[in-house]
Amino acid sequence: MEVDKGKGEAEETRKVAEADRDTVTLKSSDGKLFEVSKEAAARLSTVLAGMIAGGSIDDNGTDLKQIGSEALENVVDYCNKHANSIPSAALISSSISFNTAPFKEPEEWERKFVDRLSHDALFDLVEAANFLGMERLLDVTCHKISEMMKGKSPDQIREVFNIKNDYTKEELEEIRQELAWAFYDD
Amino acid sequence: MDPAKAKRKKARRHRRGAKPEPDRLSALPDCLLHVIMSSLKARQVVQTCVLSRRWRDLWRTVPCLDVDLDEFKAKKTPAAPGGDHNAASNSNVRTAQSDEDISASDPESSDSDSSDSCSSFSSSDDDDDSKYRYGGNKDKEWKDFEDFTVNLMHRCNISQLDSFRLHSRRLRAPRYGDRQVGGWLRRAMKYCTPYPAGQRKGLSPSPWHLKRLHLCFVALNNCFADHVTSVLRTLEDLELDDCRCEIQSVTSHSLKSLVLKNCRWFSLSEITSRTLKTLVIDGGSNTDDCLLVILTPAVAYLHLAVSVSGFDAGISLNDMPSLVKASIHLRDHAGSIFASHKLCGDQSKLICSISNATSLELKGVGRKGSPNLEKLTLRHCKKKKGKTKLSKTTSSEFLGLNFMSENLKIEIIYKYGNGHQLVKLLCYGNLSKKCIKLIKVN
Repeated sequence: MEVDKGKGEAEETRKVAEADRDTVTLKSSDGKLFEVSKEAAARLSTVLAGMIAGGSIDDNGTDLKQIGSEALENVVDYCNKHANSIPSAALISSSISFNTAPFKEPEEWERKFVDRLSHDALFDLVEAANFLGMERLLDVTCHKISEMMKGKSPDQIREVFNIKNDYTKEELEEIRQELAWAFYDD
Repeated sequence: MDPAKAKRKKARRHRRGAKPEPDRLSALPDCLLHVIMSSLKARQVVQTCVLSRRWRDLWRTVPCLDVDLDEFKAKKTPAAPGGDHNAASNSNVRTAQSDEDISASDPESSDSDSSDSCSSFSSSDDDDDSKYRYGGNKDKEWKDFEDFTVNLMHRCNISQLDSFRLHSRRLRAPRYGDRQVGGWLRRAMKYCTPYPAGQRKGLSPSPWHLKRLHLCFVALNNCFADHVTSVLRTLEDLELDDCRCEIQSVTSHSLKSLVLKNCRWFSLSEITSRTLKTLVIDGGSNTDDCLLVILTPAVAYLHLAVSVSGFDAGISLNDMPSLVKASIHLRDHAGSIFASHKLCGDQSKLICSISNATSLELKGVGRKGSPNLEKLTLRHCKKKKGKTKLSKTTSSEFLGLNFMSENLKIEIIYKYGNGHQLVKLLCYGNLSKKCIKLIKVN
């Protein structure tokens, strides 16, 4: 949820209520303010948890200079959705508690959440999640990226991510010889 | 141009399959690329080395490897050497070069090119799939799998991995394929050490870093079991699926989760772990005359779904005071030919040891007309701090329990709480009150 900045009166009242608020205000690199539940922020982000515990949360909006407003909006959105989906998560964990998959698959809503993102927004979100130490969000976004790579040839992967091939022909041939066992070659 | 507009345009171009301008993926730090690569299958992980210099050695330090026979399905492989497909698949690297040329010249025109090449890719996949089905490319598939796995284990130090998954498949493996894979694994276990200073002769092997190990269709023996006990000292999650295990005992001081699905055991007599929290035994069999004793006092989740005939000599569960949820499913037990199996007779014992569970689900235990289940005992362990209350048991999942057997006697031994509540609950089902015996102990 975005908070209009520059509303003098609102600022004042917020300051007064600050002490026992259950939300924190985050400020993106381009100066937009976002509010997020303190509990969810502390639970989902190790960095925000540290800031909250250490009292370094700025009531007028904690500066997150590395994160643009679009990415921060997604982060906040994710935190809020996550807070709302707790009952279902608990339900799932109890019913599939025997499931020991090494990678916790994203839940349906998490999948949808990352699916609707544009290419750039996805990478912005990965970087934001990394910066904020949001392990679960990192897993979900990274999982999405690997889905985009899965089953594709190196050529196709270069296409999708615009990876510039900076090898010389000879170098590539050398690698391919060295790792022939990993490529199709008969 | 207004930045939002530019972004929208970029997004639109991306939807059309065009390239976003910067290479955001390669710009990520190694640790994130490793996370991303960890969800790919192992061969694709290694193949990323040709993407660009940035990717050259990333695969060597990836923390998770997932080697799967599925990845070697004869896809895009030539049916006959020298064929058209051969050239196409061989040119993985060379086409990369030409592709580079195209994209450099005109990005717009390459859009259509790329979509074309995509569709031709998928159609050739279909062709090859049918070739695979009818031509029987199993041998080649297995050889590729073998070459890859053996080389990978040789070059990638699997002792330094976090997670290793090795999946073979019964239906697509050659005869004794599981033993071959077992051999590769055994050699890797013998020669891999997390410290490259060489083999420490005469000393005990240094521990691996592995936390998760999943094996499917691999033949294992006591060497493996020893390795689990003494070298895989950080292993938390072990899953064996469709494995042939000539193993007499599984002991671990670090395992938290042990999942055994459809494994054929030879004289497995003991599973011991003080740390184990989750234990799943689903299907499989053990040698006829061998009683399996499970000593895992910390287990909170227990799932036991076995056929009575598979574990003929029985399974003995020792006390599990921390049990939260248990699910016991004994299959094919109503059949008369199995009436004499030990596991049937031991049911009451089995249930006795899991009586601390707050959620208990029993299936196939005490079927209608079954002469086997004569007595169900719900006993609250009075030794343990005396804190357990009977009311907990009332939350037990009795749905699915069929107490129709006429000679079934239920004995409830309790110390605290209201035993009559439980009786009410049981009578709600098919039971008559006189079959239930309440014993209050002091």
